[in-house]
This record gives sequence, C-alpha cells and structure tokens, in this order.
Amino acid sequence: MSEKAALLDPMTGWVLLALFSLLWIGLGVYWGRRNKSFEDHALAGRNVGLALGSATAAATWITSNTTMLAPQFALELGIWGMLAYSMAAFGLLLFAPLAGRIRKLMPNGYTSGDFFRLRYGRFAWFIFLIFTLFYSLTWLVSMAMAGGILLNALSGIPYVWGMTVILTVCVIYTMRGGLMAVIGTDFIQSLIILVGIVIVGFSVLQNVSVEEIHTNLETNKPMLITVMFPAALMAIFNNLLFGLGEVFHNNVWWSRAFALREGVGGKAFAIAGLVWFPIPIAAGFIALASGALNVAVPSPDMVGPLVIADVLGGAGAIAIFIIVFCSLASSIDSLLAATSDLITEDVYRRLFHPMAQPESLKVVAQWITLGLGLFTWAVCVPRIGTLASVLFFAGPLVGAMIWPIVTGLYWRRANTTGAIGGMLLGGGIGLISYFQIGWYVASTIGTAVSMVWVLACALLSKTQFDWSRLKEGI
Amino acid sequence: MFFMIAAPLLLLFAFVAPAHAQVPAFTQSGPLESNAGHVMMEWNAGSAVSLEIATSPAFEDAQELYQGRNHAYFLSGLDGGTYYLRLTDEAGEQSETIKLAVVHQSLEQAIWLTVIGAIIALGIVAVIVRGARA
Repeated sequence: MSEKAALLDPMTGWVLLALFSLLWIGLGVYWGRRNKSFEDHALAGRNVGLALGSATAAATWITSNTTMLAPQFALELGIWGMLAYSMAAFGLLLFAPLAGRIRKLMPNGYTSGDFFRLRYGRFAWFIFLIFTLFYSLTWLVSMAMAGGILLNALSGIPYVWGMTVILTVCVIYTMRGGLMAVIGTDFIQSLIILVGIVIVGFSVLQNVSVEEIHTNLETNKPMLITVMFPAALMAIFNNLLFGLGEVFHNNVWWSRAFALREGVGGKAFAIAGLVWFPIPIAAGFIALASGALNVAVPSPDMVGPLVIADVLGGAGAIAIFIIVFCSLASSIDSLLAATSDLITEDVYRRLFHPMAQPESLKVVAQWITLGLGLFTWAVCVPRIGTLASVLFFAGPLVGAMIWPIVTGLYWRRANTTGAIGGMLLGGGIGLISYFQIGWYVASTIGTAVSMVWVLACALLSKTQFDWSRLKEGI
Repeated sequence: MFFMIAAPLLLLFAFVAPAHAQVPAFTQSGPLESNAGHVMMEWNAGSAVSLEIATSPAFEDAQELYQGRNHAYFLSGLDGGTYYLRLTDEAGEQSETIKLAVVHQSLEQAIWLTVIGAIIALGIVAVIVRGARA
C-alpha cells in the first residue's frame, strides 16, 4: 500500500461522517430541550447516575490519542510503553475518592476554579487559570487537528473539511444540549469504541498467535520486549503523573464530579478507570503484532489503522473510521463544555458580572462554546505541524498542580504559599527539564519539586483551614 | 531556434525515459543517532525499493526490512550498536549507505527517575487513602 493511499474511499468517509454527525446533533438537541438554567446546562442538574457517569468518564478519557498514540507508544517503547500508556487509568482511579470529597466539601460548586479561589485565594486562582486554559486550549486544538489529519488519512477527506465538520458537529450539540448532551453522546460513543476495540483485538489474534508475535519481536525488535529499556522505564511514571495532573486539575473532571448524583462519583470514576485500563494495552498489542503480520509502517501514528485494515479489510477500515470519530467527538465535546463553563463561571461571572442570572449565564456559556469553536478552527486551519506537540509542554504544569489539589482537599494545614510556590516552582523547573533533558522526565521533575515545596510549607504552617469556607460564596 | 529544437526533444525524453531513472536516495543525511532505538527512514525513489539493514558496512548480514512503493519506514526496537541501511530499486540501483548509531540512554538515570516517580505516586496514594479514611 502506498503511504498516501487512504484506507477508505472519500464517498464512504463522507457518508459515515454525515450519518454520525446527524445522530450526535439530533441527540444533542433532544437532550438539551429541558435545560433552562446554567446549572442544567453546565452540570446536567447535578443528577447524573452511575451508568452515564461511568461511561462519560471512560469515553472522555478515550481520546484519539488512546486509539492512535497508544499503538505508537507500543511500537516505540514496547511492552513497557504499552503499560506506561495504561498508567493514565490511575488518573481516573485516584480521582474516584477525590470526586466524593469534592461533592461533599463543595455541594454548590461549579468548577475547579471555584476550589482554587476559595481554598487558596485569588492569586493562586489566577495562576491556575493560566495553567488550565493553556492545557485545555492546546488539548482542544490538538484534538481538532488530529480529527482533520486522521479523517484525511483514513478516507481522503480534505484536512480542512474533516476538521471543520467534526468541530462544527461538536459545537452544535454542546451548545444546544450542554453537559447532558455531552454525557449522553459519550455513553453511546464509549460503547461503540469498546465493542470496536474488542472485535479488532480478537481479529488480530485469529490472524497471528502470541508466539509468532513474540518470535518476531525477539528477532527484529528486541528492545520492545526488554525489561531494562531506559527510555521506556522513564516513561512509566512520567506518563502516570501527567495523567494524574490532567485529571486532578481539569474542569472536564470536576464538572462531572459536581454533576454526578451524591454518592455516585467515587464508583463512577473507579469503574471508568477499570474499563479504560485495558484499552491502551489492546491498542498497543495491535501495534506489536505489526511485524508478525508483515505490515510495513510508514508513520508510527498510523500503525493502529494500518494493522486493523490489514486484518479486517474494508470492514476494518470502516470500524477504525467510526472508532476514531467517536474518540475525537467524545473528547472535543467534553473540552468545549468544561472550558466554556470555566470561562463563564470563573471569568465572566466572578470577574465581571457577579449578579448575572442563571438564565443569562446559560446563554453566555453557549456563546463562549461557539467562540471556543471558532478560535480552535482558526488556529487549526493553517495546520502547523508542531502545534499538537505543544500539549506536551503542559506535562510539568499539570503535574505541579497535583499536590496543591490533593493536600488542599484533605489537609487543613495546606496553605496558599505552598500552592502558589508549588505551581510556579514545579511548573518552571519542570519546563526547564523538558528542554534540558526531555519530555520523559518533565512531569516527574515538575511534580517532585512541587511536592517538596507544598509538603515543606504544610509542615511549617500553623494555619488550620476552615472547610466550611468552600461552601460559602458560591 | 534552440528552444524549438530542444523543447520537443526534452518532451520526448520525458515520455520515453524509464520511470526508475531516479536513483533511490535517503532524505536524511547520515550518520543518524538514536537514544531510544527508533528512527524514521524516509527516501525518494522512482520505483519500488527494498530497504535493508546490516551490522556491517559490507552488508554481509543484510536483512530486508521492507519491499514496496512507500517512501518511509518506521524502524523501532533496535538494540544498542551500529547499523547500516541502504535502498535498492527494481533496476538494481543502490542508494548511498546511511549509518545509524543506537546508544540507549543511561540505565542508571532511568532507574533513578523511575524510583523518584514511584515515591511521588505512592505519596499521592497515601495522602488520598489516609484522607478518605479519616
């Protein structure tokens, strides 16, 4: 196969794109019809149950990276790389107890920004907003760019058209349906992704045995099955800490903690983590089988689709197209919703319009969703290749927020000096190590520096935070 | 006058010239280095090529990695050492040999960073578990 040949013809791609676009928009409009206030729109009325809660957490965490980058990790870093990617599941598993704690301490909270403002004051809140908006916007841009690139690679649909359609669809149903539409579509998308991955995994195993894969790797790619593989070892905890930082700080996850019915949050995130854990392993296994299946890989991020198309033929190409579309939509919609809520609550309401009414806040959130979509589209159109890699700069920034959040939720002695210093020192030194050493150490070093500072400040502090302050002023 | 004669000749040459007239050539200039055992090989060629790898510059132990019309191949999982790569097209034309040195990162540094990462992760788990029980 030529590297430039798409797996599907463009007409099939357009038909699939049109069918799923209509489905998501239709469901978004249907689920959004009862939204009256900002609370309905942003937090689905704070009444989401266990099934929807688990599915939305799992689906949001299954990004296009899970289905495309996890195989790349396995192809580059072998068995350890596959497990390193799976370590991101601990973000969801460890957020499970935090979700319950957040719901208990902040029964009326809206965003993760509310926590930083009430717990550590306005300056820490300001730093948090810079870090989280940088992370959220680069994630959003990287997902939209990945959408255009992947739809082009899979079906030949021109990059700008593919990116525009997927972004437009997500903006429309998120604007109309709010978090309820996001959660509902996530439920269906997670089922499609899971069934697709299971079918693909079994199909690969029917074409090649584990012994054949092992023999091929031992002969041609020995480091992929070597225990003492330095780059892979370093990636394990770096990826775990990056994943923890992403989940612990971002409003995508806090908004779900606020939206879930009381007592449901812990179970929902734990189930989501367990469901998510094997997916990168299955996706990575597909990549490790590429040599035994004699599939040539012209680009590491395309190894997953190439193996699936080789094993399943035309049906496989359609399956991977649908899986990728669902993975992208389930992440882009969540980011749009959570980021627009954060800007509405933390910037529009808290800084400029403290007396704004719930009905008007809902309209503001919808306009901000549209604005975010337009901003993302404008940044993505030129297709600057290196832009997606900017997301990796966020590793030390999000890692530096882990300790201020965890100690701030459980320790009365955790204080503002610790939080501000932890974020600035951890983020700064982590970024320096990113450029001086490499991406595979940036999150580890950023989190380590932040941890030492936060712990030292807490141990030396005599302050006792009053938890009831988290309930006030919201 | 010269143009009137040269242009048709050039056109004729373009049509009758064999497609594989372009000698295969890697787009990278060597020697290449990798600290994680993987490298992306890219090339220009007018026809299908065979990509070979060997540990000796004379290619006595050559092994074919790829045969086909792609213009790139992602090579990964290589052990530490020196490798040589070359392309051969259908007409037997060969590219210049490119040298690849794989020197993996320090295992000691990797183990230290893994231990530090594990301590931080365990610390986070401890704070959450103790806090959840309290």
